[in-house]
This record gives sequence, C-alpha cells and structure tokens, in this order.
Amino acid sequence: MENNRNFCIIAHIDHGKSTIADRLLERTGTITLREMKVNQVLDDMALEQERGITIKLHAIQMSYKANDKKTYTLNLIDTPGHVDFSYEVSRSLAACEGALLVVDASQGVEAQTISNLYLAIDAGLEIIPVINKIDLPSSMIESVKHQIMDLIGCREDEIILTSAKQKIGIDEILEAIVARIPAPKGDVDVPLRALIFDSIFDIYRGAVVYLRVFEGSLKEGDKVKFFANNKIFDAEEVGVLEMKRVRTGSLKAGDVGYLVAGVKDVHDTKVGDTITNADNPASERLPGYKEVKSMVFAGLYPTNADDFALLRDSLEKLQLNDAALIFEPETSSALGFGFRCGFLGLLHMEIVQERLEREYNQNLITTVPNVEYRVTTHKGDVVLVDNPALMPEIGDIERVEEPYIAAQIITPTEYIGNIMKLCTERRAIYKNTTYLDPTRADLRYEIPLSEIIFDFYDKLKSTTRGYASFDYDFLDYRESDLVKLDILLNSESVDALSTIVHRDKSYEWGKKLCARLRKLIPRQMFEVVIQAAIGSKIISRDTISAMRKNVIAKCYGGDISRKRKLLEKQKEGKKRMKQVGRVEIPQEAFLAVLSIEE
Amino acid sequence: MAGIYLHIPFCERKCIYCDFYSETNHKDHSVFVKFLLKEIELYSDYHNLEEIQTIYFGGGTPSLLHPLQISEIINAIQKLFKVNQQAEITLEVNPGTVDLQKLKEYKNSGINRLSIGVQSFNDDDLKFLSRIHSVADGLRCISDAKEAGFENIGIDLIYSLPTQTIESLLYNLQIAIDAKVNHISAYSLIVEEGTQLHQLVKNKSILMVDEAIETQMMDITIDGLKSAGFDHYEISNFAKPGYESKHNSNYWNHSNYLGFGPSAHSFWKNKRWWNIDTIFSYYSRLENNLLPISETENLNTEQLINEKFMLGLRSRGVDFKLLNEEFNHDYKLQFENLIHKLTSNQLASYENGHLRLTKSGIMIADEISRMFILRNSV
Repeated sequence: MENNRNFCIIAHIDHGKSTIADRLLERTGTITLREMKVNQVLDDMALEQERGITIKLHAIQMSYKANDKKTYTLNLIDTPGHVDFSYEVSRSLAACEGALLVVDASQGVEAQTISNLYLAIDAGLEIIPVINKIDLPSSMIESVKHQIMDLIGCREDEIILTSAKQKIGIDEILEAIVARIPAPKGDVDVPLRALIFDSIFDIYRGAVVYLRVFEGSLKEGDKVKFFANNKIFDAEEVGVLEMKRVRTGSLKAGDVGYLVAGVKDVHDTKVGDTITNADNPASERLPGYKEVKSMVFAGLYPTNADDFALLRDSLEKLQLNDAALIFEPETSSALGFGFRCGFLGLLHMEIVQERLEREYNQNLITTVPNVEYRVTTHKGDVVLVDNPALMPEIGDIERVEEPYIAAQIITPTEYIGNIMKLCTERRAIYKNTTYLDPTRADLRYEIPLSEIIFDFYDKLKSTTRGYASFDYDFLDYRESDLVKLDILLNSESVDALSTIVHRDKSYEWGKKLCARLRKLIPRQMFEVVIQAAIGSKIISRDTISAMRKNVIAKCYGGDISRKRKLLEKQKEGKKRMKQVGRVEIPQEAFLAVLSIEE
Repeated sequence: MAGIYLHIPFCERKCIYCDFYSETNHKDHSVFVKFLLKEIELYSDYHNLEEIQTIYFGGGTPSLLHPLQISEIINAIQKLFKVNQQAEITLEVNPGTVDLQKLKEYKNSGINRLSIGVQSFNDDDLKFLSRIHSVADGLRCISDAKEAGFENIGIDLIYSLPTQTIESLLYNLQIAIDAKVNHISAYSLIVEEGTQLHQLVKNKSILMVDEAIETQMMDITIDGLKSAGFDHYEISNFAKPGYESKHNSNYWNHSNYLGFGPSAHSFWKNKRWWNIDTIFSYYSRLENNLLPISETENLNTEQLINEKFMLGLRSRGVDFKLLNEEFNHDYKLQFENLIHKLTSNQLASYENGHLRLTKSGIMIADEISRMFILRNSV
C-alpha cells in the first residue's frame, strides 16, 4: 500500500490534461509510442475527441521506478471536464490522495479549474501545481505562477513547469507524484469499503465497476453488497486497469481496480456508492454519496411515428452506459409518442442527442429544454413540472418556484461590463467580485437555471471573445413570477411549443417567438395564423400567408419520370415534418426558442 | 391509342433557357435520318401492337429538316405501323427556319398540325431568350402557315421574363389572341440546370422576376386566354374546343408512346425507357443494330399511381372511378380528408368522382400533387 499513489488531473479544456496523461503513460512504459496511434488515449469515445472534452471517467494503472529505486504503482483516475458532470468529478477526486493542477501558461486559471480545485481541496487532496505549454511564445509563466500561488497558497518552487508536447518536465511530475502525494491509508483487516467512481457496460460481462478500495479487501468469490440498493452479487472477476483490464483475483485497501459481478444494469452500480462484503458488512457507507439529479429536461420524439419502439430500444441501450440519463414515455398532441428525458445539463443533453443520431441512427425531434418547476396549487398540493405542457391551469396556481444556481465567471477585467449586462438580462442576482490578479476577475452570481440552459454559455463566450469561463452549482428553489406561454397555430395549441417564462419577459418573448416561427414554418396551401397566448389571453400574432404559386410549367414525355422522382423525394423530406392540425411544422421549429435572437 | 415522338436534335443556335438535347454544328442531316429510320425499324415488336393516333416532330428544331426528309420519315412510320387515317401529325416550327414555300411542302409531306415557337411578340424578349427570329418573323410564320393551308396551328409563348412587364405581357396575349390560332402553350420561364440561363442567374448577371410578379403574370395569362375562349386544359396549355394537342394529352393520360431519336422517352404498359442523349453514341449503337436505350424503368403500382395523380392534377383532373377500378383500391376513401380540404378551400372541384384543380389549385399544383404521393414508393 505504501507504494501506491492514486491521483487525478484537474485542468481546463485544452490546457493539456490528455497530452500530459499520454506522456506519463509513455514515460512509464505503460504504452509505447507505436501503440499510441491516436494521441490522447484517455479520450476514447469519438464524440469526446471531436469535442475535446472527456465525457466518461476512466482509470489507468502505471508502474514507475522512481529515483529512490523503488517501484511505485500509480493510478491515474480521469475526470470529466464539464460542469454538467461535477458530481462525477467529486467522486473521482474522492478516490484519490492527490491531484495535478494543470494550467495553460498562455491562458491562466479558468473558472472550471477553480471549481474542480476547490472540490479537490475539500476532499483533502495534495495538489501538485503544473504550468503546461511553457514553450508557447504567448506564455506568461510569471503571471500564471502568481495566480496559482494566490489560489492554493503554495511556494513558487513547488510549481512544475512543463511542456507535454516537447516532453519537458514529465520526470519532475512523476517524482513529485511519488514524493508529495501521500500513500493511501486504510486498514486491510476491517470489513470491505470500496467507492464506485464509474461503471461501464460490457455486453458480455454486464456492468464493470471501477472502484477504489478504502478498507478491507475484495477477492473473487466474495459476496458483495451495494449500499444504495442493498443488492448482493457474486464477485466474478476482480483486477486492475492497465491499458486493458488485467485480472488479479483480489484488491485490497489503497488499490484502484475493477469488479465484474454479473450486474446487468449500470443503474445498480451508482457512482459514489459503496461496496461492502455481504457476509462481513461494514456498518456505514463512505461519505459523499448523492443520487444524481436531472437538471434539464426535454422531449425526444421519433421523426417518424413508426420508430417509437426503435427509439425506446436505443434509449435503453444508451442508458446501459449512461446512468445519468433518465427517460419515461410521454405523449404530445403535436409530436405523438415520445419520451421525456432528464439530463445532467445541456451538454449532457446534446451528447445523448448526438449519440442517438450517430450511433443508433435515430431521426429525432427534440423539444425546447426546460428545468423542473415546483408548482404549489391553491389546494396546497406541490406538483413537479418537467414539461411545460403539463403546467397546472393558471387559476389553480398558488405559486411557482424554479431552481437557482450559484454561478462563477472568471474573465479578463475588460469584459466585466459585457458580462454584467448579459447577467442582468438573465435575471441574475449579483453577489460579488474578486480579483485574481489585476487583469482577471472572478464574478459571482445567482441565476435561475432556466436562464442559462438556452444559450447563456454561447452568449458569454461571444461577449467576451471566448475569454470568460463559467461554472455553476445548484443552489435552491425560489419563487418567481412565471407563466406558461402557449403557441397556437390556426387556433390550435401546439403543446410541444409551450414554454415557461418570466412574466416580465413574456410579451417580448411571445412576439419574438411568433416572428421566429413565421420564418421557420414554410408557406402552406392555406394561411397559417401564429399566436402566442398566456392562458386564454392572446399576447402576440403573426401570419404566414398562403402559398400562391408552386408549379413547374413544363411536363412532357421526357419530364415525367424526373418530376415524379422529385415529388417522391420531397414527400420523403416532408416526412420529417410534423402535422399539427392542417399545418406542417419542420423539426427546427420545435427548437425555435433556442434561435430566437437570430 | 398510342403516339410516336421523334426527337430532331439540331438547332441553328442554342437558346439560353433550353435544356432539350440538340447539336448546333450539323449541316447535313441525312445521316441522322438514316439512323432514325433504322431505329424505327428495330422496334418491330411494337409495329402492330396498337394503332398510332399521333406523330410529333419535336426538338431541337425539326423544321431544319427538309420537307422530303419529313415525308420520308412519315412514310416509313406509316409503312411499319398501323397509323390512323386521321392521325394528328405535328411539326414544331421555328419561325426563323421556314418560308411559305417550305410550309406548303411540309403540308404536302403529311404534316397537319404546326406548333410555332414564336415565344413573344416583343423583340427585347426574343433577344433576351437568344431566339434566331424576330417578332415580324413570328407573325409572318403564322400567316404563312394559314396560307399554306394549315388549320390546326399552335404557338408557344414564354412569360415571366426579366425583360417583361405586366403591360408587355398583356400586349403579348392580345396579339396571340388576335392571331387567331387555336392552340397556345404559355410557359412561365423555368431556369433549368445546365442551361446558360442557369449560369447567368447563378452569377447574378440576370435577376429573375420575383415570385409575386410571376404569380400575377400566371394569373393574367390564365384569365386572359380563358376569356378569349381557350380551354385551360393543362398547366401551360390552352386550346379552342377540339384543338387540344392529342399527342401531348396522351402523355398526360398515361397512354402509350414510343420516342425515337437521341434522348427521346418512351412509355409502354408501365414501362418507361429513354435513349442516350449524344448523337454519336446514338449512331454507333444503331450501326451495331442495337437499340440506343440509356435507361429503363419498370414502374410499380405506387409509382404508376403517383404519376396518374401528378399528371391528372396538372391537366383535366383525376377520375377516381377509373383509378379505383384499375387498381382495385378505394383511393377516394384514402384521400377523403385531403379532397375535402381542397374543395372547401376552392383549390379543387369534385364532381361525379372527378377531382379537378381550380385556377388557384393549378397555381400550386406541385404542392397539391405532393400530398397525393404515396409513401414507400422510393
């Protein structure tokens, strides 16, 4: 145990986490250069590579012969790099004794780095500060050094300077891991307590649990129990995580490894849960477990109604690998049969959508995402509303509460004005500003979650030329003056277009939404009247005049086949439209709210 | 009821809007006639199947052929096929290629209907369209045709031209009506891919008339010709009673026809095929006694029905009684809601099982056709 070192890397996107990880794997001989066909081994999902982010957690074990001639087992536990996944990050951190804090020499400290750093400090991790990309001409090493020293109170000589690209400073990192990060502690002779920090689904083996043993030991043949659901399974295979899973038969306190126990459903292997021995159980679980809660909801519908069963199938398969995804069937008068899905955040939603489309070939219509509202009726009932169409009638509502977040924005000082303007538009409550150094500020706000799930992040990026970084945490539910805004097409309400907005914004919102829909819905054979309404009150109106001419003049012997094929092709295209009453609505219209400013 | 189409792929000059296949550098057409006759001969399987009611010389510019060549072709067809005594035999004529004498000779060769490509009675329009003739040529051609003894005369007009105004369109229609012809084809200008016009529009050298004006022009054309006694029997075709183009009506009725010459299309009993569209491969295939067919298409039931709706809605309507009988399925029932939607909005009329588009329906015929297209047909 004294030769184990468990650590993770905290870094902002593109600050070099994956490149440093690759260098460590290469330097310790875990992987040869030749094997490293694709750079950045840790991000192995195509989507992750494309987006330059790590979505799922992974872990890898390295063997390192240090300068003290002893051989150490290093477990690098990867962490997802996006705010949607902060709970998963916290569980990965909890599995470690130390963390590399990697900061880009040309960019400095970012909001996300800070929030994850605080999580690490809270978890009692030893922090090894690393400034990466020191070879870049635009690097500002001294300034970044000061930011880091202010942030974690370290000495200048504790900061390691690296260029992972140029292979500078890699040995220093490895030596620091061995020297500074404490060996894991924990009694081998007490009942087993192991922390699940991730699980994946293997079609042959079922759920594969990635875990860190804190106390006791785990060996094949043991009966194991999961605290969250009290379910008992047989430990079929136990081992460590090198480039592949390597079966070792047992793990003991301080080790990081995997467990296969015939678990068919990843929902039984919840991140943050504790595993113990069923025959000799620990009395308490490890601290920090939380049920993951969906923050953002949206309806997912098959474009072609016949594909409903296929979509359910795909969602079920996807869920095997993504325990954070929840869904249940719902119906919409506009869109037919579909699913209301809950996501950790907007990025998580986009990932699910893209994976359904790419990996499962689903053609989807997604409704505008929303948060979950807490509605109290006059009768005193509390209803949770995750679908605006299901909002109780105005007359029955006593009050509506919505989730608020605590937001942290780190920005060069010159953009503070722009950010304040943006935040004010989003009903944000200003809390305070601290200066990280004379050129960078850390702004704190409390913002309704619903205000950031549309396009807040994009707006923030564009108003600060990409320099600001953003992070948030769920805060609480607060009462707001919220109303349901309905959209009617030729007097028929389209449930999938309903949104919940703040009353002060509802008029402008309704007007913009009608105008946007007028652009998105093509002319039809008949006039289409678009109305926005709150309850029975119409607050805005727009009209799409009927199509007046759509006919090709010529159709002789040589034109017939071509023309028929064109019509058939158009018909296929129209299958992607949804028919509401007599009106054909293209898919994009259901996300009109998202593009309302265009 | 069957027709024969002959594609004569020669032009003096290519018009900027035209996407029909033609060659501009051939002076001697006798080789072509030789191969065309050979192709007709090769169709021996079809020679005695059905009586031929219509023969149509299209192009290209068929009036570049000498009347003797035309008569040679007609004679060959009459010899090989059963041709009805009263068959409609049409020749497309470019006013820049004929005089009175030549028209008389065409008459003698057996042509009994002319389709004259006058296109416009405004010289600016003709220049824009890069036609080889003037307004005067067009008017003279019409009167020469009458003098030559033709009674069944049609003219072509194109509207929605960038050079055109509402006034000049009205003037065009007036002259056309005054010319006392009994058939007018009036087309809204189409920018076809691969034409010079397409290129000009793409690089913005030419700005097409906007949709509202185009709609208005179509409206005016339909109203103007109807009030002058023409029956609007197809999107772009107008005829005095009894003078519809029988040949073209065959296309729209899904009747059988054979097409000869490069790029010509044939349709016979649910099967469609078309010829290769370069003249030298056409020659070489026939040289080797092979049919110069480029592609064949066997239409399934859905495709057939899709075409019946598309063509019927463009012309005299869809007869549900015939359709239901032929395909043993109640299409009236299947499309009941749509039919109701169309009739209640004055886009179509429905009487005695017959659905026909009104003027406002015709204006959006493609949109309406699409609604009748059956799924699973692709």
